Amino acid sequence: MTPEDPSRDPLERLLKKTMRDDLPPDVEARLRSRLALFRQDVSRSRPPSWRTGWTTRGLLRASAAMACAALLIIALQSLFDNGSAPTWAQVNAGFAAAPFVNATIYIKNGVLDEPLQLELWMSKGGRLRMRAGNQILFGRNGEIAESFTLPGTTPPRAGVDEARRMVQEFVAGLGASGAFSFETLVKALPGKTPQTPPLPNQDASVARDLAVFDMVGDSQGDWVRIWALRESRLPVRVLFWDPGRAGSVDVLLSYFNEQPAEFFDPAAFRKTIEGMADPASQAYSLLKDPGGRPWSPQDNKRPSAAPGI
Amino acid sequence: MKESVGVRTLQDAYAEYDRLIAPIEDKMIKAIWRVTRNGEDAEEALRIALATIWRRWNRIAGHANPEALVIRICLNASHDVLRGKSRRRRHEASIHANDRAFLESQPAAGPAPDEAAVLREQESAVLHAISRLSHNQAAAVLMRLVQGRSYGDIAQALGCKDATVRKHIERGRERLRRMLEPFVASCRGEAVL
Repeated sequence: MTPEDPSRDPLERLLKKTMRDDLPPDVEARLRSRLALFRQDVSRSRPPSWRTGWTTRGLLRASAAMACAALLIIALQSLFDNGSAPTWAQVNAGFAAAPFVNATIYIKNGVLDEPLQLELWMSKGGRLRMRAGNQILFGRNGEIAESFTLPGTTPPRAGVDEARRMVQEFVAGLGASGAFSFETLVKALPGKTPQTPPLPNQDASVARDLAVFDMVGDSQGDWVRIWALRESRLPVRVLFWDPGRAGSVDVLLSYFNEQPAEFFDPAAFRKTIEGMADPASQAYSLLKDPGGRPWSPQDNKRPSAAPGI
Repeated sequence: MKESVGVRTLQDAYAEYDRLIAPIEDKMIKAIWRVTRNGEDAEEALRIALATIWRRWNRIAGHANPEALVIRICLNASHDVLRGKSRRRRHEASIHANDRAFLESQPAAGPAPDEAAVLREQESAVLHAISRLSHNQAAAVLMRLVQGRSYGDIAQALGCKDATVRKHIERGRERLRRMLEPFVASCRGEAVL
């Protein structure tokens, strides 16, 4: 028997016993988020070794020709190839890696009902801000830190209680996990979330660059459909559909760069809205559009920084 | 100075990532966790490893065994973290905290307090001993003894000959055996029993 035989070598047994594979799920989630973020970074810019020192006109022409050829090949490939669809875990990791998420949620209780609109903004570290009707809520570490009623406004006729319950569940879920979680968002949506795991539904989209997942409910036939981008693996839409009453919850997701810290600070919010008269400026105070466009009436009075305006 | 850029599309970048890194994400995470055994340190090690992977992307893409090379980068990064700032105290504190949390969460199934203290001490000693090895010794020992990789794999990852790998393992093993003598002896006892 050699000293390296795993069954006999005490040092090897000691190392294996100590360096065991007992990765806690929260650490694994954080590491996977970092990898998902790295995948995005790889696409944004090139490592130094991808830069070349070409300066001559001939080489520039050659590189342009190669670019055209590569684009042609990619275009042809995309005609015949659907690409690999992301898994549900990858969609979750993509969502968790986003620095700032904006979710616009429309809740409709029946086909002829007016939808109630909610707006949710989330950032790293479990920070959250939401507008539900005429209320602005701030959440952090699993609790609603503060809520404001926009002065001089009246609440919508229905749905605010449901929205508030949703916010509470979502804030608590975020606090418990300590990170963005797309599953927490889906579970917190009003309605009975189906218990089945999300499964890919390839027939549900003809768009090559979208992946679709379905969660199917109980005998009532409720279902949830999730659309995610194939390349970036970011979910962009969630639809909860109740065919029994044609009720729906429709969530549109968009992703920004990080907002200033005061956007999630109730004290800064209170101070900012003090001099404001109109509810729109109050509701969106401190929100910076990533493209530099004016967002609220207050912003509209200032010259825009966006290109092309 | 003028600079033009090579041809590379977004789709290429994703495809390269999916070819090189995505299939071994699990192995990278496990390799880092086994050495760091602490959430913060694992994140730091992964950050360092990804920065290295970023810098050496072309080398990895053209390597004969990219998986082994990436795992070696992860192990080196974990090793760097282990050797880093106030490693001894920091590890002991975090390992204590980890064990406390584990014991509190699983009071019935967890080890007895004495056993937990022994495991803690053993873990701390092993990590400290690993941190004292050279980069190549640590990577070779961990890839061989913990991950069970072949000498050929390790040689490709370290960029040396099989014989050099064997030498790294032999020396690393000898140093570990000396530093961990009491714990190795207790494991020897277990084998006899």
